[in-house]
Amino acid sequence: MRTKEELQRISMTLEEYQLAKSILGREPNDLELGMIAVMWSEHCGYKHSKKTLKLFPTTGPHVLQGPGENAGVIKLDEELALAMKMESHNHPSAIEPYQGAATGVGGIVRDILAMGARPIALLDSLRFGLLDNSKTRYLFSGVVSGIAGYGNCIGVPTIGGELAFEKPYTENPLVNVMCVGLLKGKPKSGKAVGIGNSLVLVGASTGRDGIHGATFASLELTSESIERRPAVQAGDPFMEKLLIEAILEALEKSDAIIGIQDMGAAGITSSSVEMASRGGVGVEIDVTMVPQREKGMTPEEIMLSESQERMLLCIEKGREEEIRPIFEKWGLNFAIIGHVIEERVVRVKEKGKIVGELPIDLLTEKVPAYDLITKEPERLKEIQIIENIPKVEDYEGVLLRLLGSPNCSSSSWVYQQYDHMVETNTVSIGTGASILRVKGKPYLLGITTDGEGRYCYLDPYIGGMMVVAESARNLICVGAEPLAITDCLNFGNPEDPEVAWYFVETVKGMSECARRLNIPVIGGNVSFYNESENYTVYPTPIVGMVGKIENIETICTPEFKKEGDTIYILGEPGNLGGSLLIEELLGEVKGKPSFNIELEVKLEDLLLKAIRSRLINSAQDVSRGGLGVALAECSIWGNLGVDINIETGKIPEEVLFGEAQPVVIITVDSDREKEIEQFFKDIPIKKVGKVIRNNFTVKINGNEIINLDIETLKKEWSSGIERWMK
Amino acid sequence: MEKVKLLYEGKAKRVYSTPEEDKFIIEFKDTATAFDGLKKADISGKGEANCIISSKIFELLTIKGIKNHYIKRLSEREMLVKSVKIFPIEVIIRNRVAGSMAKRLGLDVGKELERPVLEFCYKSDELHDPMINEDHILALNLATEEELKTIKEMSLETNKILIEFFRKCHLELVDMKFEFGKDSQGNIYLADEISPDTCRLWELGTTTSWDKDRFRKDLGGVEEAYREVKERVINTPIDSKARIFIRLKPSILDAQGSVILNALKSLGFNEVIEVRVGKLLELKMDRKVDEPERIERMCRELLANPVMEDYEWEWIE
Amino acid sequence: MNFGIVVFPGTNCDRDCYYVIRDILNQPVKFIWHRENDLKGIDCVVLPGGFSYGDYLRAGAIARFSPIMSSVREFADKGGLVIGICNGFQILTEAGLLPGALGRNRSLRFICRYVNLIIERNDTPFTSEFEKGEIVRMPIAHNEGNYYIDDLSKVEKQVVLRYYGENPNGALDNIAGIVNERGNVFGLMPHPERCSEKILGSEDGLRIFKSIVRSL
Repeated sequence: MRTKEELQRISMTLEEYQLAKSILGREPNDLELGMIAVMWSEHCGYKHSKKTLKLFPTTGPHVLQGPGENAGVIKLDEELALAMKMESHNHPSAIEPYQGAATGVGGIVRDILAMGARPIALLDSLRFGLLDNSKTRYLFSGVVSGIAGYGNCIGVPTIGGELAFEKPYTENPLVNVMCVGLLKGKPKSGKAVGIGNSLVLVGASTGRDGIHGATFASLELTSESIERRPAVQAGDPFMEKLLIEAILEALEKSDAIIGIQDMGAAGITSSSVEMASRGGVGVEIDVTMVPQREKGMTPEEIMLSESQERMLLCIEKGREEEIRPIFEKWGLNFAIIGHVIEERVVRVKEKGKIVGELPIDLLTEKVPAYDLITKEPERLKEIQIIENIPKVEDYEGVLLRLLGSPNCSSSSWVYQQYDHMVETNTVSIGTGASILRVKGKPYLLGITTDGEGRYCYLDPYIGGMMVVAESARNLICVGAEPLAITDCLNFGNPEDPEVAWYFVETVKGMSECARRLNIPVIGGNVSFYNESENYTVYPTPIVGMVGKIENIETICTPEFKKEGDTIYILGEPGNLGGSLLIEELLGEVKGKPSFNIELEVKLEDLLLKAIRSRLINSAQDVSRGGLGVALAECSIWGNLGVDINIETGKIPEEVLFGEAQPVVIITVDSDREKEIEQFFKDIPIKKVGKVIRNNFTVKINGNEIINLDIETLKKEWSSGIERWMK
Repeated sequence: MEKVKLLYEGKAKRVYSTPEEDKFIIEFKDTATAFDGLKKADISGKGEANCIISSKIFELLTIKGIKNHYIKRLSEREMLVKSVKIFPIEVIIRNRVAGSMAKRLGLDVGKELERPVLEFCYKSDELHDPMINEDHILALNLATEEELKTIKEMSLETNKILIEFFRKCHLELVDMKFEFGKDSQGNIYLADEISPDTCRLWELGTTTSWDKDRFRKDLGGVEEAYREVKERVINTPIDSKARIFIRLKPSILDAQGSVILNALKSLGFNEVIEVRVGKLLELKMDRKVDEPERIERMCRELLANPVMEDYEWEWIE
Repeated sequence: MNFGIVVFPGTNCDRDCYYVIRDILNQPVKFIWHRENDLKGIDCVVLPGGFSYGDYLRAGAIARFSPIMSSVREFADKGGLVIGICNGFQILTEAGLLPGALGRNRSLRFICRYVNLIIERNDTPFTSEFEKGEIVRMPIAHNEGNYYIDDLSKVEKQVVLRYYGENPNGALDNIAGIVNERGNVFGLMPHPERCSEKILGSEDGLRIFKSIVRSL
């Protein structure tokens, strides 16, 4: 019998303990209990999210691997496939920003590697508190250098992501990392099969770091979290780079590797159990065979250690020696720590003696799946209403303020710290979706991550739809056809009914939009308990999406291309609900975001066709900061001005700074206006002006309200983050 | 460093002054004497052996925090030491019964003592180094009470360290003789030498001598004994740690240091005028006799880039 | 023209250089693992960028002890062409094949972006395709690119590339690339292999590889 305190230390409830005991039919020993606790943690077991996640559409003709593996995989052509996955590393980054972010990168890269793919790109979606807070600046610069320190060293370019600064993330930043990889032929699987086949641990040695990290990730952050510092691991990117090269070399030279699995949260326990579960077999592991970094480690410590840069391989019995020299060449451990057995258990031995044994299904299928208790927050109706829309006196001033807000401004301070060019595939970054070429192929890849906390906070269903739609729209705007989604869902404590309601509604919205746009969700991750003493984060879904651009001729980019081009707006700009303007002016997030899914479907279809037919010269999605900010960005990036006049019945605040979606700005050759208007006749399209050489002038119903030169815009926009981070 | 003037010549050593006032050079001779100078001979290789053995043992003691006069070894028979004023006291520490103690008290040679026994002798050639007690020392002002206390503590601590070390050499430390000195500030240092001339060393578990007793008692194989002890001492690893500091040369802008300096100032620590950031490396070693030189080489060849970095190092416990 | 690209553990621009030399320039090229020591048949050795040995201790400090480096030294002594890019440059200075050292960027941050460079010498086998005084654009991507030497006059004549306009890392006298006295060993912080194709935004880097090919 265990005390409540004892169970609390490993984040298990008394009920869960009793359930586990009854399934097992006996009292688990310390080692076994530790293994159960990590496998039943939210982080590994998804016990609060499993049922909701079933809502996502996950299939499609090009999907080679949906959720359930280390990463999702889609087919690009007859030869190549693409693996993608996103994961959060929020809690470790809150405690130790550099290592937290760095190990986040390491983990996601190994997930991609486990599919047999060479990682080709990293993207990071980051959220922090406001930059006027010194703690925020510490976390922000630590996270960015952690990502840089790790990603740069392993030679995988960090090509994009997104960034937001909002109060609820002050103590609990969000660090979501996405990795994309390319592989030839069939993806690998994290599967153990074939009785007698060997389980081989490769990579780094095992130390006492990060024991119970998975359970740590399933707790709210408190000041005591600081004392949990040992649960944060340190990364070794050099080791990771060697691991990447060794694994890829081994896969190229031999087919003896049957399964590959990342060793992340819950270490050897979860990796071996997951491999056994997928293969429908059992595993036997002798902890004495595990290369150890520290002396005197107990079986429990070895089984639960989260030492980084390790992977578990299942290798055909008798062919281990084909693989060993490759790992030895790269200076890595190659240790046969166990083998596949028929009996569906995980059996742990120490010096040949059994020290623990648990049924696989106790640690997988039988992890309890909770029905969420949901309750719509009462304050929702209240925050959805903006009582008094503030009247803007100085539109120029407001535009500059929004452009200079770290939420809109240039993120070059961040991405210049990332090696975004290594591998020499990076065609475009920093404006809209990133574009990578694929050496030897005519097509290119568009990759983006998008997230939206404030919309979901105000209306999770709409917000959930918007985050998927915006991501797809960003791809379409560069001429890429969206192929698949990976996501990361960042929420508070799911046992809080309001948080649970937000979670379920958000997933419903995302699923609906993904279904309507016909983009499958092929993998992802849920991060709960993003709460601290003073804040609960906004319900924040992050979407990572990959699309395919037909060829180099059909790339489209957002910046204005040439003087004299005609500017059109697709969709209907407006609605200040959830807008940055309202937050800037009122100091709080208010209103109801607006989104039109019917229009979205039509707009995306037409826009992609137009780009592929090379009808348009630029396309820019309107989102944070509204039309005003989006137009200014096109000007800044293209170093060209605009002469705009919008005839409208709405107030200028709404038209210029509203964030209704979908809205897209396009430019076309002035002699193609008729053609364009005809092409987009089924959706709202409005001619608003011309691209000119220098000035940025905007009139509403003929009244000039903005007249700025581009240098002024550029100065504001480019210093938004830098001015804080000097 | 060159020898300037011969300051003293003893039975087994010569001491020279150097251009630096606070340093002496000790040269080890091959000559051996016994029975108060009645027996005298040259033992080939003895000077070299004693110099090398003493150097390594002094290095070990430095690592273990026992202050001693050793600075570095200059050649096979010369070592550079701090110039200290030697107390006119010989300290003898015994772990087993042997030599004069066996005679004086009629005890069996080789009997293990319950606790180490300390004896003091007054250093005087004319009086043949008579045995004295603590009261003599204090009454004759040979050392102050404080100094005597320090000398006793250092002797016992050194004994403990050397018992363990010689055991690793498969040698039993039966007894040994120390001399102490003090510098101008009054710091007390272990001085002289530590070698088969000043230690009784037996093959572990036997009473076979590996020290000057072979010469005293005409047991033969004297040269071999010194050589053997030297080999064993050289080849016995000492678990030791060195701490290496690497910092940018003063002429190079230390950007990190400037940033930290500004941060300190912004927190109100205005008294800070410069910050230099460096690297700290800790090396754990099973040290061999010429390790100091090797650490220098590690620093020069790999750990520091001489174009822009300086280094310093020290032993740590 | 046979190129050999040395691969150290942690090198990560090896495949990028390989692609430019083989697929863009159509020249024979092979990888050389750092434990090897045979440079037979090689006309130009490339030490590519990356993080050899994780840049632990100091960038390039450990790689210089790899077996291949003694062969590279012999090769250079016989007049063979050696080009070190970024981490390769750092290795060459650590190995003493080029003078000076590369310290931490003044900003203390990794910097990845395009910079302007001025060609100071076009009489080297690496820069013959440029005009003297020409301004070119190439990307840099490094943490330690701050060139330092105690006596600048020692290398004055060996400077091949300087940062033009803005100095991104604090390098002494804006030095971005230097050759040895003999002119056959070249180290530079910018990455020519990253700007050798139009699709990547610049082809200025290709001219360095073309110069090498032309020199033989």
